Amino acid sequence: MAEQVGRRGGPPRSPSMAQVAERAGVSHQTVSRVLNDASLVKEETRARVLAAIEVLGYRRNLAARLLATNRSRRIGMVSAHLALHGPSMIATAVQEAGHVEGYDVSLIGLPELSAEALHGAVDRLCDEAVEAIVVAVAHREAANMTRDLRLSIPVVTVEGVSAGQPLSAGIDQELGAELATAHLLDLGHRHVAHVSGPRDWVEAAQRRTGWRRAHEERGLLPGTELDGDWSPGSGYRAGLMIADDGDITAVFAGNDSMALGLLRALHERGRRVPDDISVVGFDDLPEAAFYWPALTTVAQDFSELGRRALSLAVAAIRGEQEASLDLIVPNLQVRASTGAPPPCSP
Amino acid sequence: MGYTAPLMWRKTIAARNPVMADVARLAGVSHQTVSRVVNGQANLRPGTRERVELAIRQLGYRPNSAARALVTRRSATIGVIGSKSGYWGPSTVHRTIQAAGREAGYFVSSVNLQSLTRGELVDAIDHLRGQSVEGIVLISATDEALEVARAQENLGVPVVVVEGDAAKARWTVGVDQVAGAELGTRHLIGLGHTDILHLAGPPSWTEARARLLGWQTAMYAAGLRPAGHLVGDWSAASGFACGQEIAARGDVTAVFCANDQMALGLMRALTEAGRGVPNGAGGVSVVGFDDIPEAAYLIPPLTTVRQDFQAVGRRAIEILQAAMAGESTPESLIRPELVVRASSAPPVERNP
Repeated sequence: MAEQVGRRGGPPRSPSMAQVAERAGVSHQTVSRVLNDASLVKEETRARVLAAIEVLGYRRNLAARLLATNRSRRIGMVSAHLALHGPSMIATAVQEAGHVEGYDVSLIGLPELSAEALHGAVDRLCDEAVEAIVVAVAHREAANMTRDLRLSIPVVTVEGVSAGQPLSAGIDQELGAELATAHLLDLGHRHVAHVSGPRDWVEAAQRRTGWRRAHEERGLLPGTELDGDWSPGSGYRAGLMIADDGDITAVFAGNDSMALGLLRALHERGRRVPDDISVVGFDDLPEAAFYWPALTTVAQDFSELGRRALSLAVAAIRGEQEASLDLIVPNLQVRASTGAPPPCSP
Repeated sequence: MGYTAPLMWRKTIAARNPVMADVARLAGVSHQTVSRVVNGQANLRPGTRERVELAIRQLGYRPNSAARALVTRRSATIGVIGSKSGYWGPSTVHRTIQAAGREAGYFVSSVNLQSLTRGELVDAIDHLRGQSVEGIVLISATDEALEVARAQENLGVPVVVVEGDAAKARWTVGVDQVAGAELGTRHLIGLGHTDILHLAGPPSWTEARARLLGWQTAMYAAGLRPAGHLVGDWSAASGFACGQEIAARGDVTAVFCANDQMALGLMRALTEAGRGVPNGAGGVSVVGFDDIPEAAYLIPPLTTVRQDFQAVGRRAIEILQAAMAGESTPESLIRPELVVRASSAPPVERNP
């Protein structure tokens, strides 16, 4: 088709509405009606316009699909902090799950978290006639911002969710942190210090809750708390303070990257891991097994999370009510960075 | 149409967005009139446009973008194809390209592939063309991918390849991989090493081949014979496995590793085998590539080659825009930078 071959360096040549109209033997307005509201057009006319679009090279594309089915088969996803492991794994998992179910997942990464950025992203996605939106934004305000969207299409939330929250899927952060902390307490440590992620992240708060609960359930007082920001640098700075604190024999780092920085700081100060101080992380990065020492951590099944999020969205699109599932249970990966407290420890 | 609680839309058979007929009904005008307003046409009675626009706002109606693309021939969308391997370099570039694309006013449609084989790539491009993208950025190409990309240019969709082979792809952008590898290798040569091994990435990746070439070039230029090289798969696990082999070789005093993640596994294997990094008995110096955030916190902190991915993302979009407009394209290679840390040092004295 001559029209399909572009001029060198020019924009791609899509058929114009005029060409479609001419081909179908209808008016320009009729094509417009077919594209925008097929209910006003005679079935036979609609079929002619559809055929014209197909012949002019619109096979398997969004326009044809929309016309044929009134459904875009597309789901939008908005995500923040895609530079970090968790968010990036979740985005990939949702896209993969979408691929399996025959849905395109259009992903927009937010440069910063604000109501404007979220609205802008959602606007763009709705322009593409997405049938549902998955919101993966971990901040506390995100829940309110999402509610304020007032969309007529379903919105599924992942990240920062609580058990039983409607239209949401998540991995049990509190339980994961509790498992990590309990592992250390059951090894004999009397308390566990915690380097947490940023306070405005719901997941950081949830991991902190699990860390506290593990202590409380054993009648113990929680250890020292330090603020991190998910980065290895923040773990390193916290690690320097921990190394100097003779009271600390065990640390739960809010993620593996911070744990890495922590390990570096302890190494620099001559505190041996796990002989002097035990360290647990969270995420189970592929590299965690090769840290020095190999890092005990909490693994999150992001693939399962992606599948659940997609499945909720698809069911919602169909108007079906899917029973809300429990949060996904994470599991502890025990490696070489944890052991019993040194003898004669406080 | 207030807050959409889950209950509300579950009552309807299936939720749907408002269509043009809804707007027409609410505004009390014809379908044609709404169409005129939406397409920005003139010759409307005063007050009519306002009524229609009000109805549009009240209903939250969005003109069908596919239809708009038919009318205007511009979708203001670009496609980005990456792999979902999770390797730090490619995924960072993906993000910076998305950000740069949006900043330039485009909607960015991203596709992540399991692998960059012909079949997956053809599907991905088909999918993107279905969205009427005006251009495509392909990240970290394999040879198969480059062939497919070249075919797309014949269909009028400019394809910019990141870290591609300039001989095989018309428009490429990236950090100068060969120069980066030369920098890393020359650093080791400058410290006094002569037996410098290379732990390469998978040969189907153009960056892996370029870094291998840079290592070889630097060695020859210094009058050294590049000893054989090992091949990993970018992962820390593969670095560890190769590291165990390297640890057994007494002649090697330094390794130029094709990325930081493999270097992490490599250093772990060397340390476990009792070969110090970089000092100690049988010490081995290690240089990586990328400068991932963790590099400074490894034990020891890793000497590496930094890639300015922000610059790559911006340049990729600039080149794509130029290609789309039929203009000459800006310079495609970004300079790399050596970051010296503690994992590299002069060779340890070997006992005769």
